[in-house]
Amino acid sequence: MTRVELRGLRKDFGRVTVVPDLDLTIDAGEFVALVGPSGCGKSTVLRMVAGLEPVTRGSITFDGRDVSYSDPKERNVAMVFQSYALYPHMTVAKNMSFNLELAGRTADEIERAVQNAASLLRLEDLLDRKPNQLSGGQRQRVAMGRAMVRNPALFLFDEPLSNLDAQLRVKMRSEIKLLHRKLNITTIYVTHDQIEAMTLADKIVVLNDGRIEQVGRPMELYARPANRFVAEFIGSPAMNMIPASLCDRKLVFSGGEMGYAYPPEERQQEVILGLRPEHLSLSDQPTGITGNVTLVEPTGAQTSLLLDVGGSSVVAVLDGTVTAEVDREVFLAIDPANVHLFDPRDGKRLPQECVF
Amino acid sequence: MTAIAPAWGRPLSRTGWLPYLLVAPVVLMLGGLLVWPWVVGLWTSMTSLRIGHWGQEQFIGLSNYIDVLGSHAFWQSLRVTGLFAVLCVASEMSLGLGLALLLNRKLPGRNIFRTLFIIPFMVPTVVCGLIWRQLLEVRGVANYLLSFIGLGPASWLSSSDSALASLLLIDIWQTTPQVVILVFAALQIVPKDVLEAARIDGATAWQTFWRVTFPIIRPYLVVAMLIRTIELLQVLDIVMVATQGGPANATMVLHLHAYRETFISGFLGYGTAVAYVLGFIVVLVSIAIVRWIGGTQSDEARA
Repeated sequence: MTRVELRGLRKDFGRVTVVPDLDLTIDAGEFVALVGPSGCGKSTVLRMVAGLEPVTRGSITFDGRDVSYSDPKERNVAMVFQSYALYPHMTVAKNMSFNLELAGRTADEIERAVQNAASLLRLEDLLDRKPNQLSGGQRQRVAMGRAMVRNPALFLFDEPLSNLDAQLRVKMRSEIKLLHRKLNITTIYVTHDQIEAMTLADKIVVLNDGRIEQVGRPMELYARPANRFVAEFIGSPAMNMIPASLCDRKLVFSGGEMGYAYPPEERQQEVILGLRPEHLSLSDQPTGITGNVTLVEPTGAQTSLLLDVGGSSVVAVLDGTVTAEVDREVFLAIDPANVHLFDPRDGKRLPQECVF
Repeated sequence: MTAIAPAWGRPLSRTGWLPYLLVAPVVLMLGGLLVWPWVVGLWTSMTSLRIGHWGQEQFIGLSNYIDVLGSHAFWQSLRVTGLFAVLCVASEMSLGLGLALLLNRKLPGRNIFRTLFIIPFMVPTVVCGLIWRQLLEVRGVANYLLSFIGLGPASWLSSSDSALASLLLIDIWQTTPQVVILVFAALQIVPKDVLEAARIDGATAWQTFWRVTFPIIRPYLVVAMLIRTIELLQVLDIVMVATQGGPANATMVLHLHAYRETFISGFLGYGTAVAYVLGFIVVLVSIAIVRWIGGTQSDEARA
């Protein structure tokens, strides 16, 4: 269990700054997901923690020990790569024991560690195979086994599930989570998939352009996104963003209006109204949003509607029992407790308590 | 199955001649260009054919081969060829591997060096031999430069002590780039993240090379080695241009020996027999290389 601190971390590639100035604390035993769109610098941060990418400025400490400039070897981290990066010429057992061998462990110790990891990951029957004789999911498990055998200070995952098919991804996701519960090793997990981040992490770090947009527990990020970027990134389908204006104690937008109690100090004229698709529900009364159905997508448990609301489109995720017809006008009720307001200029969250 | 079988069988039997017709041109061409000369050569090697004595040859069975194996000149040549091939392959492979690893790093001016390294490879062997002959002549550039540090002059190509070493130098200069290209190409297939995984696993640069990079590129090294060995066992051009086998047969390689027996001395049958023995040796050595060095790799891949 290692506590990791990143202080003023910066990374330049030539004249391009990928990560300008990053501060982050990861508690011992914590599972942290770095999430963000591609090119946001999340993998670069991970590679700096691993020691594969030299730090331009700032510091990385493990339990107070500065490792900013040490070799990966001295950091005792284990990493699972997106491509798994298994040694193609070695058997599964050799792949897993390579680290222990280099560390000069005895044959007995190695044997025990490999058997242990293999039984935990159900790889016992595959120990003599070569990576090219394994399926994608098996390779993924070998990569995890290779990381596990050495009992590392830190687990690093670089998009480990993105090369698997959808079903296997869900399965491996829960395996990773169970494994973390069992081993309780500090973990940094990089992904672009917000669902992976939500389901796995104790703490999510949303990155954009090398900057932290928000750090928090998954449900915190979902319930109170600090800004528009986080609001749109977390949650699927993405939050509906509707331009609205405040006038005469009302929040007016194309397709509807809501009551708004002016806070005495705040007199914002234009705002962005954020509504999660799953927080909208059908209503018989003409309240909330009025729009025309343009698409109905039943998925079984839920049905999503695509509405045309005064020229812009709004997505609503409704119960699967709901029946809706295309080109009909429908009313969607809005729960004022689940409304988000953002400043259109800088995207920052605005207090939404005055909406009713 | 029953429905499919006749459907398969009928068109095949009806047009049974068609596949043969289609491959016939290639078979005839291969037969005419490869097998026929080979058969004629084999027959020639079993006759007493001599240049200028056309039509007087007699079939003498294996006696040319027996003579070859009993000839001192043949064994001497074989020794020279073997020594030359082993030394060349060993130095070209290790030098080629080293240079390829160097060129594979992010060094300044890497692209210029990559281009420069290809140049010797592009120079025709005969031109290369002539260049080096001028450089290594008693009054050549090499001796001129050595005179500044008080050495020489040495008769590089005309002394039996240094002639083979000089040939070695020329061949290394000319064909190491070939090995460099092959090894360099092989290095490109080693995935970057596998090397990073090795770093994470705590391997030093040395351990990463020997335990990860080398096993991955090994099959390509075997191919490079095979190509060089075959070429070197049959070496002729560079020796002919630079030393003509001399001095005192110190550089008389087998191929040149066969050539001289055949076209200079005129013993067409005997010379051909020498050439066939050489061919036989090349085949044996090639099989040995693939079996011993390449074989373990394919075992590992299969296991």
